[in-house]
Amino acid sequence: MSPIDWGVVVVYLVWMVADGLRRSENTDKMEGYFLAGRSLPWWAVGLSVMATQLSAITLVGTTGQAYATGLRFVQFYFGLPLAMIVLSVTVVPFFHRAKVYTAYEYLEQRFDVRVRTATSLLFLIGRAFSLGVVLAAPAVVISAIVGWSISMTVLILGVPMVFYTVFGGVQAVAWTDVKQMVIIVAGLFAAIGILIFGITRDVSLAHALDLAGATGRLQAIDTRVSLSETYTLWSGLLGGFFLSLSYFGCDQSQVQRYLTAKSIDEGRHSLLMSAFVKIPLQLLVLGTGVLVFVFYIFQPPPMLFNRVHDAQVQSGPYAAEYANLQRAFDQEVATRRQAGSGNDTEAFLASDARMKALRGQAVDIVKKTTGDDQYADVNYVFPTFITTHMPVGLVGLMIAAMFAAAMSTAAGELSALSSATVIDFYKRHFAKHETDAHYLKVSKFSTAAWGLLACVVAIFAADQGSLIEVVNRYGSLFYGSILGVFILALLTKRATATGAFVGLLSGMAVVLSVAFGMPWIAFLWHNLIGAVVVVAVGMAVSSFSK
Amino acid sequence: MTTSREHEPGDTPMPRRYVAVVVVEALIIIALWALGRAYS
Repeated sequence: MSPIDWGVVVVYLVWMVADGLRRSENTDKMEGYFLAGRSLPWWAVGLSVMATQLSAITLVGTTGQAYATGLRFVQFYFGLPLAMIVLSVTVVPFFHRAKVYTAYEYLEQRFDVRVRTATSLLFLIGRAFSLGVVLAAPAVVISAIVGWSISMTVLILGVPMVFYTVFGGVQAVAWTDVKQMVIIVAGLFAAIGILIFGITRDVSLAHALDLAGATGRLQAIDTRVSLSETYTLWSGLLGGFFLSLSYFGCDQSQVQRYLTAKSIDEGRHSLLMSAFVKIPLQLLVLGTGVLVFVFYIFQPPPMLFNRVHDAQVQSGPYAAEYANLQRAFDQEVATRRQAGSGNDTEAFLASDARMKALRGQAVDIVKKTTGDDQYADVNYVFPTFITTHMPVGLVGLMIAAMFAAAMSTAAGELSALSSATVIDFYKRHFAKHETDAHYLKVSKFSTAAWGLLACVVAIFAADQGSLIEVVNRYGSLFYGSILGVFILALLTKRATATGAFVGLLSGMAVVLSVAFGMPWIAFLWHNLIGAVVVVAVGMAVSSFSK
Repeated sequence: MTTSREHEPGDTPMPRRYVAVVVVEALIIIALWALGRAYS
């Protein structure tokens, strides 16, 4: 990276910290620190909601997935707009009127302290995992680019973010999110512009679409009915609906966002912004990945996108085998390019399949050399494109966009973890009658402590396969069961505290059994299974425990 | 007859907006399906 690119990244980091700290003036009370005094406009909350959800994992992992498999991952988001409608009608006005700090606070009013504590605890466990992975994604990117260690990269990324979140609270998080969202979208459009410019030097855009289509990468919709297929129209609409209901309706990192809105309508508008924009935005990210695939048909791609591993293998015990693969790969690159330039689709597809097989063998060698069984080369595709094919200045913008995506998500989750810790545990169980100033001090300490833990988790999570799936898989273990409790709380009057508590435990037990005992069931269905079990068991137990 | 809750300031029913969300999503799914059919 050039000094200009580093300059862009440094300016970005300084700007974010300065802007975040500027917001600390209004955070001298708990309501200001955790809820921005319930004063934010809908568009700022809406952008913050989207920025919290659009993590660096989305940029790195999703573009990589689209490079490898195409647009089909978009189906994951099909349930989201429908969930936003349901939440706008039900949860938004409800939480707003209840004047709660956390989503779980209400569960004690409706049921009892056991249900509140258990649900909040599940949130804390799930989010602590995800926060680490959210930080790890850009760490993987930056470390691959500059050769830094993962640990150092995590700290360079994490420390400024923790700093402004600790001192600026949710106000700092929300307003930096707004700016970060602008940087991310600008970065994506810049990348797409460069990709289209590069592709059209060799072929027309229509021919590029033909090539992407021939490999199945433009097949976004899969109408098959299958429990084992991860992304289908039905798993997206049903599983994604329940996942989104749970994530946006019961996950404090999202609930806290719309609790900061000025009014019920402003909260609704902020969620409906995601309902309209999320799928197009996701298509923009996935489309970028597909364009990267087409771009590398005409520009020689590396056999392994992770240059660090490439160098490791070349000096390792399998170097000779790797060199043979490299020769075959280089030959295949030329064959595929020639077939792709003409109209020989059959030869192009055959060559593409051979390249894929050669890459698979190269990845196996990486696994044998490094001992990293979870290694996924797809996470390095987009970063490699950025650093090797984007012009000076835009590389810095893209790295800043990666930082922005990671920081916006991590900061939101950090603030949510801290609010649940202080409101649902510290204030509820350990220090009920302290002053606002005392709780504020504890909140800042709690934010810093979660930030530290997130950095530690990030260092260990950095190499866990396709990063986007890691987060969703972890989340799906908890989301469905948490949603089930909120369904019992909000939609039925018959459910009792004991019913909800036993239902929650049963839901978790069943989801964990399914996840580990029946791994062929795609993880999106865990959300539906968890919610259904909690509601069914909760209602059954309630009818006996009255 | 409307209830007092429907007149609460800052709490307006938005049925048209919800219908718009569903229509936009349906159009996106149809467009993606057509894209897949056109380039397969």
